[in-house]
Amino acid sequence: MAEPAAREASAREPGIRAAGEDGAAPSLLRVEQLSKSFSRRSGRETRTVAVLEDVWLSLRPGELLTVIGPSGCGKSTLLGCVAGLLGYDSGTIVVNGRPVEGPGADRAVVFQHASLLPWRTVRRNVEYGLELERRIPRERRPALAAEAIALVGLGGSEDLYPHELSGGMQQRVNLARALATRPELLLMDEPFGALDALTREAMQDELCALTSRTGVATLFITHDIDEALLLGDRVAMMSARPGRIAGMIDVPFDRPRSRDVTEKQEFRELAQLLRHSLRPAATSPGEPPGAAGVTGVGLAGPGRDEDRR
Amino acid sequence: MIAGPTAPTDPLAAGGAARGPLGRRRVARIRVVSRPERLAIGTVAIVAMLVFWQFAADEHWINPLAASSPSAIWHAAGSLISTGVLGKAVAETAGLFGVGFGFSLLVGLGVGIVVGWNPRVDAAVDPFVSILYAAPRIALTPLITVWVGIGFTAQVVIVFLTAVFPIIINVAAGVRTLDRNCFNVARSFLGTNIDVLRTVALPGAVPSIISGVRQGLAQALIGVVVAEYFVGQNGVGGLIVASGFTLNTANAFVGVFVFAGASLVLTGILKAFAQRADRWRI
Repeated sequence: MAEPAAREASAREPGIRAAGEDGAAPSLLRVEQLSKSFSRRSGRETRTVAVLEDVWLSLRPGELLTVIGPSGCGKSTLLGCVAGLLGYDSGTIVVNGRPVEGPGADRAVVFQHASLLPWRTVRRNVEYGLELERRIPRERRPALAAEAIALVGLGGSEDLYPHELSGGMQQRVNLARALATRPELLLMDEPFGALDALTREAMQDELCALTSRTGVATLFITHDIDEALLLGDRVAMMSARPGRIAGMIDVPFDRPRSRDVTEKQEFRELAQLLRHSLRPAATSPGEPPGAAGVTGVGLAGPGRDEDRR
Repeated sequence: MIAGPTAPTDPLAAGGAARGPLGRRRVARIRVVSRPERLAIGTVAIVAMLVFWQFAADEHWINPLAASSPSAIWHAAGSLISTGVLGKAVAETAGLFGVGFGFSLLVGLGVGIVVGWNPRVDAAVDPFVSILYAAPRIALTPLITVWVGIGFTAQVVIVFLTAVFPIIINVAAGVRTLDRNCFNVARSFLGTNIDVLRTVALPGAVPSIISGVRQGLAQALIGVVVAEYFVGQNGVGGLIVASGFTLNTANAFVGVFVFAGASLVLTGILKAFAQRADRWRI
Protein backbone atom coordinates (compact mmCIF):
# COMPACT_ATOMS: atom_id res chain seq x y z
CA MET A 1 0.00 0.00 0.00
CA ALA A 2 1.57 3.24 -1.15
CA GLU A 3 -0.19 5.44 1.31
CA PRO A 4 1.72 8.73 1.22
CA ALA A 5 1.72 8.61 -2.54
CA ALA A 6 -2.05 8.52 -2.57
CA ARG A 7 -2.29 11.75 -0.67
CA GLU A 8 0.16 13.52 -2.89
CA ALA A 9 -1.47 12.18 -6.02
CA SER A 10 -4.85 13.61 -5.19
CA ALA A 11 -3.21 16.90 -4.34
CA ARG A 12 -2.33 17.49 -7.94
CA GLU A 13 -5.86 17.03 -9.18
CA PRO A 14 -8.09 20.05 -9.63
CA GLY A 15 -11.17 20.35 -7.45
CA ILE A 16 -9.85 18.26 -4.65
CA ARG A 17 -6.74 19.20 -2.78
CA ALA A 18 -4.78 17.07 -0.46
CA ALA A 19 -5.37 17.42 3.22
CA GLY A 20 -3.01 19.55 5.26
CA GLU A 21 -2.52 22.12 2.52
CA ASP A 22 -4.37 25.00 3.95
CA GLY A 23 -2.03 27.77 3.06
CA ALA A 24 -0.60 30.18 5.57
CA ALA A 25 -3.81 31.41 7.19
CA PRO A 26 -3.64 31.29 10.98
CA SER A 27 -5.56 28.26 12.05
CA LEU A 28 -7.89 28.00 15.00
CA LEU A 29 -7.72 24.23 15.00
CA ARG A 30 -4.81 22.17 13.85
CA VAL A 31 -4.93 18.39 13.74
CA GLU A 32 -1.64 16.82 12.73
CA GLN A 33 -0.73 13.21 12.19
CA LEU A 34 -3.60 12.09 14.38
CA SER A 35 -3.82 8.34 14.83
CA LYS A 36 -6.10 6.29 17.01
CA SER A 37 -6.88 2.63 17.26
CA PHE A 38 -9.24 0.61 19.34
CA SER A 39 -8.30 -2.78 20.68
CA ARG A 40 -11.14 -5.20 20.53
CA ARG A 41 -11.08 -8.51 22.30
CA SER A 42 -12.70 -11.37 20.49
CA GLY A 43 -12.35 -14.55 22.44
CA ARG A 44 -8.75 -15.10 23.39
CA GLU A 45 -7.02 -12.76 20.97
CA THR A 46 -6.99 -9.00 21.11
CA ARG A 47 -7.29 -7.31 17.73
CA THR A 48 -6.24 -3.74 17.17
CA VAL A 49 -8.36 -1.80 14.70
CA ALA A 50 -6.94 1.45 13.37
CA VAL A 51 -9.77 3.98 13.33
CA LEU A 52 -7.83 7.10 12.43
CA GLU A 53 -4.47 7.10 10.74
CA ASP A 54 -2.37 10.13 9.95
CA VAL A 55 -5.25 12.60 9.93
CA TRP A 56 -4.39 16.19 9.04
CA LEU A 57 -6.89 18.96 9.35
CA SER A 58 -7.01 22.65 10.02
CA LEU A 59 -9.73 25.17 10.58
CA ARG A 60 -9.53 28.92 10.16
CA PRO A 61 -11.37 31.31 12.48
CA GLY A 62 -14.97 31.75 11.43
CA GLU A 63 -14.82 28.88 9.02
CA LEU A 64 -17.29 26.03 8.79
CA LEU A 65 -15.58 22.83 7.79
CA THR A 66 -17.70 19.81 7.03
CA VAL A 67 -16.21 16.36 7.30
CA ILE A 68 -17.91 13.75 5.17
CA GLY A 69 -17.24 10.07 4.90
CA PRO A 70 -18.87 6.67 4.75
CA SER A 71 -20.34 5.37 7.99
CA GLY A 72 -17.72 3.84 10.22
CA CYS A 73 -14.88 5.88 8.74
CA GLY A 74 -14.05 7.39 12.11
CA LYS A 75 -15.42 10.89 11.55
CA SER A 76 -17.29 10.88 14.85
CA THR A 77 -14.14 9.53 16.52
CA LEU A 78 -12.22 12.45 15.05
CA LEU A 79 -14.74 14.85 16.54
CA GLY A 80 -14.55 13.06 19.88
CA CYS A 81 -10.77 13.48 19.89
CA VAL A 82 -11.00 17.18 19.08
CA ALA A 83 -13.65 17.59 21.79
CA GLY A 84 -11.30 15.93 24.25
CA LEU A 85 -13.84 13.24 25.03
CA LEU A 86 -11.70 10.52 23.47
CA GLY A 87 -8.02 9.93 23.81
CA TYR A 88 -5.74 9.33 20.84
CA ASP A 89 -2.58 7.35 20.27
CA SER A 90 -0.32 9.81 18.50
CA GLY A 91 -0.32 13.14 16.71
CA THR A 92 -1.31 16.57 17.92
CA ILE A 93 -4.52 18.52 18.24
CA VAL A 94 -4.08 22.21 18.91
CA VAL A 95 -6.92 24.70 19.46
CA ASN A 96 -5.89 28.34 19.46
CA GLY A 97 -2.34 27.39 20.27
CA ARG A 98 -3.29 25.17 23.19
CA PRO A 99 -2.84 21.42 22.85
CA VAL A 100 -6.00 19.44 23.54
CA GLU A 101 -5.64 17.25 26.60
CA GLY A 102 -9.29 16.88 27.50
CA PRO A 103 -12.59 18.70 27.26
CA GLY A 104 -12.26 22.46 27.35
CA ALA A 105 -14.37 25.55 27.62
CA ASP A 106 -13.00 26.75 24.27
CA ARG A 107 -14.94 23.99 22.54
CA ALA A 108 -18.60 22.95 22.72
CA VAL A 109 -20.16 19.86 21.25
CA VAL A 110 -23.54 19.55 19.56
CA PHE A 111 -24.20 15.86 19.99
CA GLN A 112 -25.67 13.47 17.48
CA HIS A 113 -28.49 12.66 19.87
CA ALA A 114 -29.92 15.72 21.57
CA SER A 115 -28.98 14.18 24.93
CA LEU A 116 -31.04 16.67 26.88
CA LEU A 117 -31.68 16.16 30.57
CA PRO A 118 -35.34 15.13 30.51
CA TRP A 119 -36.06 16.55 33.96
CA ARG A 120 -34.90 20.03 33.01
CA THR A 121 -36.84 22.61 31.04
CA VAL A 122 -35.43 24.06 27.83
CA ARG A 123 -34.09 27.03 29.76
CA ARG A 124 -32.36 24.89 32.39
CA ASN A 125 -30.95 22.58 29.71
CA VAL A 126 -29.45 25.53 27.86
CA GLU A 127 -27.97 26.81 31.13
CA TYR A 128 -26.45 23.39 31.82
CA GLY A 129 -23.10 24.03 30.15
CA LEU A 130 -22.71 27.43 31.83
CA GLU A 131 -23.60 25.84 35.14
CA LEU A 132 -21.00 23.06 34.88
CA GLU A 133 -18.22 25.24 33.49
CA ARG A 134 -18.61 27.76 36.34
CA ARG A 135 -16.85 30.52 34.40
CA ILE A 136 -19.84 32.82 34.29
CA PRO A 137 -21.42 34.03 37.53
CA ARG A 138 -24.77 32.50 38.29
CA GLU A 139 -26.74 35.71 37.86
CA ARG A 140 -25.50 36.24 34.30
CA ARG A 141 -26.44 32.76 33.10
CA PRO A 142 -30.16 33.38 32.41
CA ALA A 143 -29.32 36.25 30.05
CA LEU A 144 -26.78 34.18 28.09
CA ALA A 145 -29.19 31.26 27.93
CA ALA A 146 -32.01 33.50 26.74
CA GLU A 147 -29.75 34.88 24.01
CA ALA A 148 -28.86 31.39 22.79
CA ILE A 149 -32.49 30.30 22.91
CA ALA A 150 -33.48 33.29 20.81
CA LEU A 151 -30.63 32.57 18.39
CA VAL A 152 -31.95 29.09 17.60
CA GLY A 153 -35.53 30.36 17.39
CA LEU A 154 -36.90 28.70 20.50
CA GLY A 155 -38.18 31.85 22.19
CA GLY A 156 -41.45 31.07 23.99
CA SER A 157 -40.56 27.43 24.59
CA GLU A 158 -38.27 28.06 27.57
CA ASP A 159 -40.46 26.32 30.09
CA LEU A 160 -41.20 23.17 28.11
CA TYR A 161 -39.68 19.81 28.99
CA PRO A 162 -37.78 17.84 26.32
CA HIS A 163 -40.57 15.28 25.89
CA GLU A 164 -42.84 18.13 24.84
CA LEU A 165 -40.50 19.07 21.96
CA SER A 166 -40.23 17.68 18.45
CA GLY A 167 -36.96 16.13 17.31
CA GLY A 168 -36.00 19.33 15.49
CA MET A 169 -36.70 21.48 18.53
CA GLN A 170 -34.66 19.14 20.71
CA GLN A 171 -31.71 19.59 18.38
CA ARG A 172 -32.15 23.35 18.58
CA VAL A 173 -31.84 23.08 22.37
CA ASN A 174 -28.77 20.90 21.86
CA LEU A 175 -27.31 23.65 19.66
CA ALA A 176 -28.35 26.45 22.01
CA ARG A 177 -26.75 24.64 24.95
CA ALA A 178 -23.45 24.63 23.06
CA LEU A 179 -23.76 28.23 21.81
CA ALA A 180 -24.60 29.58 25.27
CA THR A 181 -21.08 28.84 26.48
CA ARG A 182 -19.68 31.06 23.69
CA PRO A 183 -17.19 28.52 22.38
CA GLU A 184 -14.36 29.43 20.04
CA LEU A 185 -14.94 26.18 18.21
CA LEU A 186 -18.27 24.48 17.72
CA LEU A 187 -18.16 20.73 17.14
CA MET A 188 -21.27 19.28 15.52
CA ASP A 189 -21.57 15.52 15.28
CA GLU A 190 -24.16 14.65 12.60
CA PRO A 191 -26.69 16.72 14.50
CA PHE A 192 -29.39 16.54 11.80
CA GLY A 193 -28.86 12.91 10.81
CA ALA A 194 -31.78 11.55 12.82
CA LEU A 195 -34.30 14.19 11.73
CA ASP A 196 -36.94 13.74 9.06
CA ALA A 197 -36.08 15.21 5.66
CA LEU A 198 -38.19 18.37 5.94
CA THR A 199 -37.01 19.23 9.44
CA ARG A 200 -33.44 18.52 8.41
CA GLU A 201 -33.67 21.01 5.54
CA ALA A 202 -35.18 23.65 7.80
CA MET A 203 -32.40 23.10 10.34
CA GLN A 204 -29.74 23.33 7.63
CA ASP A 205 -31.19 26.62 6.40
CA GLU A 206 -31.21 27.99 9.94
CA LEU A 207 -27.66 26.88 10.59
CA CYS A 208 -26.61 28.62 7.36
CA ALA A 209 -28.16 31.84 8.58
CA LEU A 210 -26.87 31.36 12.10
CA THR A 211 -23.25 30.78 11.12
CA SER A 212 -23.25 34.01 9.16
CA ARG A 213 -24.50 35.83 12.25
CA THR A 214 -22.34 34.27 14.97
CA GLY A 215 -19.26 33.60 12.89
CA VAL A 216 -18.20 30.83 15.23
CA ALA A 217 -15.76 28.35 13.71
CA THR A 218 -17.45 25.01 13.27
CA LEU A 219 -16.38 21.46 12.60
CA PHE A 220 -19.43 19.70 11.22
CA ILE A 221 -19.56 15.93 10.78
CA THR A 222 -22.04 14.56 8.27
CA HIS A 223 -22.67 11.68 5.89
CA ASP A 224 -24.98 13.73 3.70
CA ILE A 225 -23.28 15.07 0.57
CA ASP A 226 -25.70 17.95 -0.06
CA GLU A 227 -25.49 18.94 3.59
CA ALA A 228 -21.69 18.97 3.46
CA LEU A 229 -21.67 21.26 0.41
CA LEU A 230 -24.55 23.49 1.50
CA LEU A 231 -23.10 24.20 4.95
CA GLY A 232 -19.36 23.97 4.49
CA ASP A 233 -16.84 26.58 3.47
CA ARG A 234 -14.68 23.56 2.84
CA VAL A 235 -15.47 19.88 2.75
CA ALA A 236 -13.01 17.31 4.05
CA MET A 237 -13.51 13.83 2.70
CA MET A 238 -12.62 10.89 4.85
CA SER A 239 -11.85 7.41 3.67
CA ALA A 240 -12.66 4.42 5.79
CA ARG A 241 -10.65 1.88 7.76
CA PRO A 242 -8.38 3.40 8.74
CA GLY A 243 -9.95 6.83 8.57
CA ARG A 244 -7.85 9.51 6.93
CA ILE A 245 -8.53 12.76 5.13
CA ALA A 246 -8.60 11.76 1.50
CA GLY A 247 -9.16 15.18 0.03
CA MET A 248 -10.43 18.67 0.54
CA ILE A 249 -12.92 20.71 -1.47
CA ASP A 250 -13.19 24.48 -1.37
CA VAL A 251 -16.88 25.25 -1.71
CA PRO A 252 -17.10 28.18 -4.11
CA PHE A 253 -20.41 29.70 -2.95
CA ASP A 254 -20.57 33.00 -1.10
CA ARG A 255 -22.14 33.57 2.29
CA PRO A 256 -24.81 34.23 3.37
CA ARG A 257 -25.88 31.17 1.45
CA SER A 258 -29.36 29.91 0.82
CA ARG A 259 -30.75 26.62 -0.34
CA ASP A 260 -30.88 28.05 -3.88
CA VAL A 261 -27.23 27.13 -4.37
CA THR A 262 -28.21 23.46 -4.39
CA GLU A 263 -29.92 24.11 -7.74
CA LYS A 264 -26.75 25.42 -9.35
CA GLN A 265 -24.95 23.37 -11.94
CA GLU A 266 -21.68 23.82 -10.07
CA PHE A 267 -23.22 22.49 -6.85
CA ARG A 268 -24.58 19.42 -8.60
CA GLU A 269 -21.20 18.76 -10.18
CA LEU A 270 -19.41 18.99 -6.86
CA ALA A 271 -22.01 16.71 -5.29
CA GLN A 272 -21.52 14.26 -8.12
CA LEU A 273 -17.77 14.39 -7.65
CA LEU A 274 -18.09 13.76 -3.93
CA ARG A 275 -20.51 10.94 -4.51
CA HIS A 276 -18.10 9.18 -6.83
CA SER A 277 -15.18 9.74 -4.56
CA LEU A 278 -16.92 8.44 -1.48
CA ARG A 279 -18.62 5.46 -3.08
CA PRO A 280 -16.84 2.19 -2.36
CA ALA A 281 -14.83 1.27 -5.45
CA ALA A 282 -17.58 -0.39 -7.43
CA THR A 283 -16.81 1.38 -10.68
CA SER A 284 -13.79 0.38 -12.68
CA PRO A 285 -10.64 2.19 -11.51
CA GLY A 286 -9.90 4.07 -14.70
CA GLU A 287 -13.37 5.41 -15.30
CA PRO A 288 -13.69 9.11 -14.60
CA PRO A 289 -16.57 10.28 -12.44
CA GLY A 290 -19.35 11.61 -14.62
CA ALA A 291 -19.31 15.18 -13.37
CA ALA A 292 -18.72 17.38 -16.37
CA GLY A 293 -16.15 20.10 -16.06
CA VAL A 294 -14.35 18.52 -13.13
CA THR A 295 -11.63 16.13 -14.00
CA GLY A 296 -11.74 12.72 -12.59
CA VAL A 297 -10.30 12.26 -9.17
CA GLY A 298 -9.73 8.71 -8.25
CA LEU A 299 -9.36 8.69 -4.53
CA ALA A 300 -6.72 6.05 -4.50
CA GLY A 301 -8.03 4.89 -1.19
CA PRO A 302 -5.90 2.46 0.67
CA GLY A 303 -7.93 0.16 2.78
CA ARG A 304 -11.18 1.17 1.21
CA ASP A 305 -12.40 -2.13 -0.13
CA GLU A 306 -10.22 -4.50 1.78
CA ASP A 307 -10.21 -4.87 5.57
CA ARG A 308 -13.90 -5.53 5.50
CA ARG A 309 -13.65 -8.83 7.35
CA MET B 1 -72.49 6.04 -8.58
CA ILE B 2 -69.60 5.19 -6.38
CA ALA B 3 -70.25 2.24 -4.19
CA GLY B 4 -69.05 3.13 -0.71
CA PRO B 5 -68.61 0.68 2.08
CA THR B 6 -71.66 0.50 4.27
CA ALA B 7 -70.11 -1.62 7.02
CA PRO B 8 -68.14 0.04 9.83
CA THR B 9 -64.66 0.69 8.52
CA ASP B 10 -62.74 0.36 11.77
CA PRO B 11 -62.21 -3.36 12.26
CA LEU B 12 -61.04 -2.87 15.84
CA ALA B 13 -64.14 -1.00 16.84
CA ALA B 14 -66.51 -3.11 14.81
CA GLY B 15 -66.00 -6.48 16.41
CA GLY B 16 -69.14 -8.56 16.33
CA ALA B 17 -69.78 -11.22 13.80
CA ALA B 18 -67.84 -11.52 10.57
CA ARG B 19 -69.83 -13.06 7.78
CA GLY B 20 -68.58 -14.70 4.67
CA PRO B 21 -66.98 -17.94 3.74
CA LEU B 22 -65.47 -18.31 7.21
CA GLY B 23 -68.91 -18.37 8.76
CA ARG B 24 -69.91 -16.39 11.82
CA ARG B 25 -67.35 -15.81 14.45
CA ARG B 26 -66.61 -13.24 17.16
CA VAL B 27 -63.47 -11.44 16.05
CA ALA B 28 -61.32 -10.24 18.93
CA ARG B 29 -61.51 -6.58 19.75
CA ILE B 30 -59.93 -4.26 22.27
CA ARG B 31 -61.99 -4.01 25.44
CA VAL B 32 -61.86 -0.82 27.44
CA VAL B 33 -63.65 0.13 30.63
CA SER B 34 -64.01 3.78 31.52
CA ARG B 35 -62.75 5.01 34.89
CA PRO B 36 -66.19 5.69 36.40
CA GLU B 37 -67.37 2.29 35.21
CA ARG B 38 -64.37 0.61 36.85
CA LEU B 39 -65.10 2.44 40.07
CA ALA B 40 -68.78 1.48 39.96
CA ILE B 41 -68.03 -2.20 39.27
CA GLY B 42 -65.47 -2.29 42.08
CA THR B 43 -67.84 -0.67 44.58
CA VAL B 44 -70.65 -3.02 43.68
CA ALA B 45 -68.30 -6.02 44.05
CA ILE B 46 -67.19 -4.92 47.53
CA VAL B 47 -70.71 -4.19 48.72
CA ALA B 48 -71.97 -7.52 47.33
CA MET B 49 -69.15 -9.33 49.10
CA LEU B 50 -69.96 -7.64 52.45
CA VAL B 51 -73.70 -8.32 52.09
CA PHE B 52 -73.04 -11.97 51.25
CA TRP B 53 -70.61 -12.32 54.18
CA GLN B 54 -73.15 -10.81 56.60
CA PHE B 55 -75.98 -12.95 55.20
CA ALA B 56 -73.91 -16.15 55.35
CA ALA B 57 -72.96 -15.44 58.96
CA ASP B 58 -76.55 -14.60 59.97
CA GLU B 59 -77.86 -17.78 58.34
CA HIS B 60 -75.02 -19.80 59.95
CA TRP B 61 -73.79 -21.05 56.56
CA ILE B 62 -70.40 -20.23 58.01
CA ASN B 63 -69.31 -20.40 61.65
CA PRO B 64 -69.65 -16.83 62.99
CA LEU B 65 -67.10 -17.58 65.70
CA ALA B 66 -64.46 -18.38 63.11
CA ALA B 67 -65.48 -16.14 60.24
CA SER B 68 -66.99 -13.22 62.16
CA SER B 69 -69.20 -10.87 60.15
CA PRO B 70 -69.10 -7.29 58.89
CA SER B 71 -71.51 -6.08 61.60
CA ALA B 72 -69.54 -7.84 64.36
CA ILE B 73 -66.29 -6.31 63.04
CA TRP B 74 -67.96 -2.89 62.91
CA HIS B 75 -69.09 -3.17 66.52
CA ALA B 76 -65.69 -4.51 67.62
CA ALA B 77 -64.00 -1.54 65.94
CA GLY B 78 -66.37 0.84 67.75
CA SER B 79 -65.59 -0.58 71.20
CA LEU B 80 -61.85 -0.86 70.49
CA ILE B 81 -61.81 2.82 69.56
CA SER B 82 -63.99 4.01 72.45
CA THR B 83 -61.91 2.13 75.03
CA GLY B 84 -58.73 3.58 73.56
CA VAL B 85 -57.24 0.14 72.94
CA LEU B 86 -57.00 0.63 69.21
CA GLY B 87 -55.58 4.14 69.53
CA LYS B 88 -52.78 2.94 71.78
CA ALA B 89 -52.04 -0.03 69.49
CA VAL B 90 -51.98 2.15 66.37
CA ALA B 91 -49.67 4.63 68.10
CA GLU B 92 -47.24 1.85 69.04
CA THR B 93 -47.32 0.37 65.57
CA ALA B 94 -46.90 3.76 63.92
CA GLY B 95 -43.90 4.49 66.14
CA LEU B 96 -42.28 1.17 65.24
CA PHE B 97 -42.99 1.66 61.55
CA GLY B 98 -41.78 5.25 61.59
CA VAL B 99 -38.47 4.51 63.29
CA GLY B 100 -37.79 1.22 61.44
CA PHE B 101 -38.76 2.48 58.00
CA GLY B 102 -37.07 5.82 58.64
CA PHE B 103 -33.77 4.09 59.34
CA SER B 104 -34.20 1.85 56.28
CA LEU B 105 -34.83 4.91 54.13
CA LEU B 106 -31.76 6.77 55.40
CA VAL B 107 -29.42 3.80 55.21
CA GLY B 108 -30.96 2.43 52.00
CA LEU B 109 -30.61 5.72 50.13
CA GLY B 110 -27.11 6.39 51.45
CA VAL B 111 -25.70 2.92 50.87
CA GLY B 112 -27.58 2.56 47.57
CA ILE B 113 -26.12 5.80 46.17
CA VAL B 114 -22.56 4.91 47.23
CA VAL B 115 -22.86 1.34 45.94
CA GLY B 116 -24.37 2.46 42.64
CA TRP B 117 -21.81 5.22 42.14
CA ASN B 118 -18.54 3.55 43.18
CA PRO B 119 -17.78 0.30 41.31
CA ARG B 120 -15.26 -0.84 43.94
CA VAL B 121 -17.65 -0.37 46.84
CA ASP B 122 -20.23 -2.11 44.67
CA ALA B 123 -17.93 -5.08 44.17
CA ALA B 124 -17.33 -5.33 47.90
CA VAL B 125 -20.89 -4.80 49.12
CA ASP B 126 -22.82 -6.56 46.39
CA PRO B 127 -22.25 -10.15 47.61
CA PHE B 128 -23.60 -9.31 51.07
CA VAL B 129 -26.58 -7.43 49.73
CA SER B 130 -27.39 -10.19 47.23
CA ILE B 131 -27.25 -12.94 49.86
CA LEU B 132 -29.23 -11.01 52.45
CA TYR B 133 -31.75 -9.88 49.84
CA ALA B 134 -32.26 -13.45 48.64
CA ALA B 135 -32.60 -14.86 52.17
CA PRO B 136 -35.93 -14.55 53.98
CA ARG B 137 -34.75 -12.05 56.61
CA ILE B 138 -37.63 -13.02 58.87
CA ALA B 139 -35.69 -16.24 59.49
CA LEU B 140 -33.24 -14.11 61.46
CA THR B 141 -35.89 -13.15 64.03
CA PRO B 142 -34.77 -15.69 66.70
CA LEU B 143 -31.16 -14.58 66.28
CA ILE B 144 -32.13 -10.94 66.64
CA THR B 145 -33.90 -11.65 69.92
CA VAL B 146 -30.73 -13.39 71.11
CA TRP B 147 -28.68 -10.33 70.18
CA VAL B 148 -30.85 -7.44 71.31
CA GLY B 149 -33.57 -9.01 73.45
CA ILE B 150 -37.29 -8.67 72.79
CA GLY B 151 -37.82 -4.96 73.26
CA PHE B 152 -38.46 -2.07 70.87
CA THR B 153 -34.88 -2.27 69.61
CA ALA B 154 -35.36 -5.83 68.39
CA GLN B 155 -38.57 -4.82 66.64
CA VAL B 156 -36.84 -1.90 64.93
CA VAL B 157 -34.01 -4.19 63.80
CA ILE B 158 -36.50 -6.61 62.27
CA VAL B 159 -38.34 -3.85 60.38
CA PHE B 160 -35.05 -2.34 59.27
CA LEU B 161 -33.69 -5.65 57.96
CA THR B 162 -36.84 -6.45 56.02
CA ALA B 163 -37.11 -3.02 54.42
CA VAL B 164 -33.57 -1.85 53.77
CA PHE B 165 -32.43 -4.30 51.08
CA PRO B 166 -35.02 -3.62 48.39
CA ILE B 167 -34.24 0.08 48.84
CA ILE B 168 -30.46 -0.43 48.55
CA ILE B 169 -30.80 -2.67 45.51
CA ASN B 170 -33.17 -0.40 43.58
CA VAL B 171 -31.37 2.84 44.43
CA ALA B 172 -28.00 1.31 43.45
CA ALA B 173 -29.42 -0.02 40.18
CA GLY B 174 -30.87 3.39 39.36
CA VAL B 175 -27.65 5.26 40.06
CA ARG B 176 -25.58 2.64 38.21
CA THR B 177 -27.50 2.95 34.93
CA LEU B 178 -26.04 6.27 33.93
CA ASP B 179 -27.22 7.69 30.60
CA ARG B 180 -24.02 7.58 28.52
CA ASN B 181 -25.07 10.41 26.23
CA CYS B 182 -25.85 12.76 29.09
CA PHE B 183 -22.63 11.66 30.79
CA ASN B 184 -20.67 12.80 27.72
CA VAL B 185 -22.55 16.09 27.65
CA ALA B 186 -21.51 16.72 31.25
CA ARG B 187 -17.92 15.75 30.41
CA SER B 188 -17.84 18.06 27.41
CA PHE B 189 -18.77 20.94 29.73
CA LEU B 190 -15.98 19.96 32.16
CA GLY B 191 -18.38 18.43 34.67
CA THR B 192 -16.79 16.74 37.67
CA ASN B 193 -17.78 13.38 39.11
CA ILE B 194 -19.92 15.14 41.69
CA ASP B 195 -21.56 17.20 38.90
CA VAL B 196 -22.44 14.02 37.04
CA LEU B 197 -23.84 12.42 40.19
CA ARG B 198 -25.84 15.51 41.05
CA THR B 199 -27.18 16.46 37.64
CA VAL B 200 -27.35 13.16 35.72
CA ALA B 201 -27.16 10.05 37.90
CA LEU B 202 -29.43 11.02 40.80
CA PRO B 203 -32.24 12.66 38.81
CA GLY B 204 -32.12 9.71 36.42
CA ALA B 205 -32.39 7.31 39.34
CA VAL B 206 -35.60 8.83 40.68
CA PRO B 207 -37.92 6.19 39.15
CA SER B 208 -35.75 3.38 40.57
CA ILE B 209 -35.55 5.13 43.93
CA ILE B 210 -39.32 5.43 44.06
CA SER B 211 -39.82 1.78 43.18
CA GLY B 212 -37.26 0.82 45.84
CA VAL B 213 -39.09 2.90 48.44
CA ARG B 214 -42.39 1.33 47.37
CA GLN B 215 -40.99 -2.18 47.81
CA GLY B 216 -39.31 -1.17 51.09
CA LEU B 217 -42.63 0.18 52.32
CA ALA B 218 -44.44 -3.09 51.66
CA GLN B 219 -41.61 -5.04 53.25
CA ALA B 220 -41.52 -2.73 56.28
CA LEU B 221 -45.21 -3.40 56.94
CA ILE B 222 -44.51 -7.15 56.84
CA GLY B 223 -41.60 -6.54 59.19
CA VAL B 224 -43.84 -4.59 61.59
CA VAL B 225 -46.38 -7.43 61.70
CA VAL B 226 -43.69 -10.07 62.26
CA ALA B 227 -41.99 -7.98 64.94
CA GLU B 228 -45.24 -7.43 66.79
CA TYR B 229 -46.34 -11.06 66.42
CA PHE B 230 -43.15 -12.64 67.70
CA VAL B 231 -41.25 -9.97 69.61
CA GLY B 232 -43.12 -8.04 72.27
CA GLN B 233 -46.72 -8.63 71.19
CA ASN B 234 -47.82 -5.04 71.30
CA GLY B 235 -49.28 -2.64 68.79
CA VAL B 236 -51.83 -3.66 66.17
CA GLY B 237 -49.94 -6.91 65.47
CA GLY B 238 -50.04 -7.83 69.16
CA LEU B 239 -53.78 -7.02 69.21
CA ILE B 240 -54.35 -9.45 66.32
CA VAL B 241 -52.37 -12.23 68.02
CA ALA B 242 -54.11 -11.74 71.38
CA SER B 243 -57.52 -11.65 69.69
CA GLY B 244 -56.73 -14.86 67.86
CA PHE B 245 -55.77 -16.62 71.08
CA THR B 246 -59.08 -15.66 72.67
CA LEU B 247 -61.08 -16.54 69.54
CA ASN B 248 -62.13 -12.88 69.25
CA THR B 249 -62.06 -12.99 65.46
CA ALA B 250 -63.88 -9.67 65.09
CA ASN B 251 -61.06 -7.83 66.91
CA ALA B 252 -58.47 -9.69 64.84
CA PHE B 253 -60.23 -8.58 61.65
CA VAL B 254 -60.19 -4.97 62.88
CA GLY B 255 -56.41 -5.23 63.21
CA VAL B 256 -56.05 -6.74 59.74
CA PHE B 257 -58.16 -3.96 58.22
CA VAL B 258 -56.09 -1.34 60.03
CA PHE B 259 -52.96 -2.75 58.40
CA ALA B 260 -54.66 -2.90 55.00
CA GLY B 261 -55.84 0.69 55.38
CA ALA B 262 -52.42 1.91 56.50
CA SER B 263 -50.80 0.20 53.52
CA LEU B 264 -53.25 1.83 51.10
CA VAL B 265 -52.75 5.28 52.63
CA LEU B 266 -48.94 5.01 52.63
CA THR B 267 -48.85 3.75 49.04
CA GLY B 268 -51.18 6.57 48.05
CA ILE B 269 -48.91 9.17 49.65
CA LEU B 270 -45.91 7.69 47.87
CA LYS B 271 -47.79 7.69 44.57
CA ALA B 272 -48.66 11.36 44.93
CA PHE B 273 -45.05 12.10 45.79
CA ALA B 274 -43.83 10.08 42.79
CA GLN B 275 -46.11 12.00 40.45
CA ARG B 276 -44.68 15.27 41.69
CA ALA B 277 -41.11 14.03 41.19
CA ASP B 278 -42.05 12.72 37.75
CA ARG B 279 -43.83 15.74 36.35
CA TRP B 280 -41.27 16.03 33.55
CA ARG B 281 -42.37 12.68 32.18
CA ILE B 282 -45.25 12.05 29.79
